[in-house]
Amino acid sequence: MGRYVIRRLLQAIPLLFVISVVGFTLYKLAPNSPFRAELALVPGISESDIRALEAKYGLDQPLHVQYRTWAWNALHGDFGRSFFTKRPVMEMITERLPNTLTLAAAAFVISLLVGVPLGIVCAVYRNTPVDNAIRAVTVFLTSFPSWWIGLICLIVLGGQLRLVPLGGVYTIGKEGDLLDRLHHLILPACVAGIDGCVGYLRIMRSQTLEVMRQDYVRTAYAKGLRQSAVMWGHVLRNAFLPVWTGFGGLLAALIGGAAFFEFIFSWPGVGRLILDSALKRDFPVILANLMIGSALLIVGYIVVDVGYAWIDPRVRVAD
Amino acid sequence: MATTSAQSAAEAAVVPGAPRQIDSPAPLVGGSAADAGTRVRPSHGFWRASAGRLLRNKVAVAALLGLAVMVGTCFSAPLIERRLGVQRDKIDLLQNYAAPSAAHLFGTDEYGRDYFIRLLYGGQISILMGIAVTVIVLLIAIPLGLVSGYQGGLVDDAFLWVVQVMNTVPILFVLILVATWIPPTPVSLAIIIGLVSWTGEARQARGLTLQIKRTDYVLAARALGARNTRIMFRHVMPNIVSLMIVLAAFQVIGGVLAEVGLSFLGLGIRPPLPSWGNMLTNSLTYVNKAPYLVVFPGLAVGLLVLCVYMLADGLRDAFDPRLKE
Repeated sequence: MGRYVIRRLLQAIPLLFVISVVGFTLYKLAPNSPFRAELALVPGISESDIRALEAKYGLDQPLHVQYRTWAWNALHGDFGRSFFTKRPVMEMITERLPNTLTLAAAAFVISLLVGVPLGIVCAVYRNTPVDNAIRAVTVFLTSFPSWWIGLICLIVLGGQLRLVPLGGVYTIGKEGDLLDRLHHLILPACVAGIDGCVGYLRIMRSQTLEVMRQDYVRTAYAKGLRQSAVMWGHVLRNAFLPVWTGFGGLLAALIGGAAFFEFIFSWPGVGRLILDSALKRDFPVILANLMIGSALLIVGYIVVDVGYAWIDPRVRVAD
Repeated sequence: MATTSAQSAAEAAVVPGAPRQIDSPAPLVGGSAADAGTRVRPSHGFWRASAGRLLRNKVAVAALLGLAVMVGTCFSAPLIERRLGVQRDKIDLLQNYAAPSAAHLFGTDEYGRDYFIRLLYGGQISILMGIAVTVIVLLIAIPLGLVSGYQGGLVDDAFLWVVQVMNTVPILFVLILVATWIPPTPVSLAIIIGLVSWTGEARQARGLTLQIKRTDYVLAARALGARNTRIMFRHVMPNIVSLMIVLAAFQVIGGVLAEVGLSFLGLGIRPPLPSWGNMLTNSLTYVNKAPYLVVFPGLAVGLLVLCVYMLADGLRDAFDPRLKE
């Protein structure tokens, strides 16, 4: 297992390399240097002024030299400074990453707590009104963008009924108050969890149905076990396997969707950061986000694969 | 939807003449009716049988009708404009934030522009975007999937690796990076979204190609001396078309939602061209004065996606009834 993890981590290196080259190229394809577009509008500014600034940031050097410098520094955890705040990019990201991860973790927990039991209920009562009603609701939920549902919830629950705060991570002045933080977290987490809930519900329903058709389940019934004993002892233990597999996709969806939820709920995470930097063309921040997001996903996928082999002895990782 | 699926299956079973043997796209099974000899049933092809199953599925037919109404309404926007006496970009500051009424079905926005008409024009963008993205995705995914599945070896390894890279990158971040320097017009947006959305379809095409590659009729074609390109495009491709149609229907949803999402974040279609996404962004500013401005574009997206989803679901059941559940 140890060797497998090491091999997967080694495989991640060329992956991250390609992503960094593509990301860097996409950034460099942008016409003009980052400042030129704005500085050119300043009255009285000369070409040599802009050149001097570009030289200061190394923008006058050949592309591969720029890439090498950037990549070498990035490997040491230094993604440069933001063009706008002038602060180290790494600092900006590390102070926001916990917020994004908190939201993602909460959304994940809600997906599990709601989606999995409902999926089992649907499987047990398959093709009954209960099952059909639940599944009809899921179809409706997935038809609307979940961020729009969040918007409506925010307007009704936050704006009209004043039940939840309108955004942010905590009330100013109450930084340490855990209850206050939970109060701010609950609606964003529920909304970000919608897609996960629906996904888990569908996985659990089809997987439970699949397992219920197995021979050993019939054997369990045949030897006289009660339904509850069969369900808990034989069906659900095996039906839970895909819940773990779904984790990888959900992580990707949560990181990708972070921008939407953080935008709506004024949540100061990396999703909002990358959105703001996109509008300001703050490339160091965008590139760093791209790399860190990709690295997070790679680690997530490795964790999923390793965990899967650990949970299900039939799956063997090739050492 | 489980009931309707079950109903259509039951109906398919009792409809006289519905050929059971062509439920699957597998060839070489069509001879059984003729072999029976005594009573020759009319032989239906795969497409006709599938169309029959689709039309017997009430939900799918309803979705198809709903879709036809939505598309028809959106694209007859110029006619409706003339009929109602309003214009898409006509500003009337004295009439802003008007609540929905007979004169303005969905009210007016902050400049007094008719919201219903703007919604229709936004719908044109969303519908065209969904279709354009899907076409681009299929143009990339089908050849790539076919070739890598059929050729195998290094080609396949390279393909899988590219897919792995693309699945590792948070796609939204790439879109943001590109959107910073390519001015987002509907055309450029469709191309960009298409270029990053093909991996799922390509993998499915590859998987099915791998299966079909091992069938006897491919072996027979090869024995007859057919070239690889001929086998791929004349023997394998027709058999993955039905799967691709189903995936395409689902991809339309992806394209619509991507456009709405990006425009909402300010990275897609830009005002004054109305799109459901940028109408939603705009409406946030005026939510206290006119909350309905937030409601209508979202409802429109949901309704469109719902119809396409039901239709896609119906198509899947129609092409391969075994896939139910």
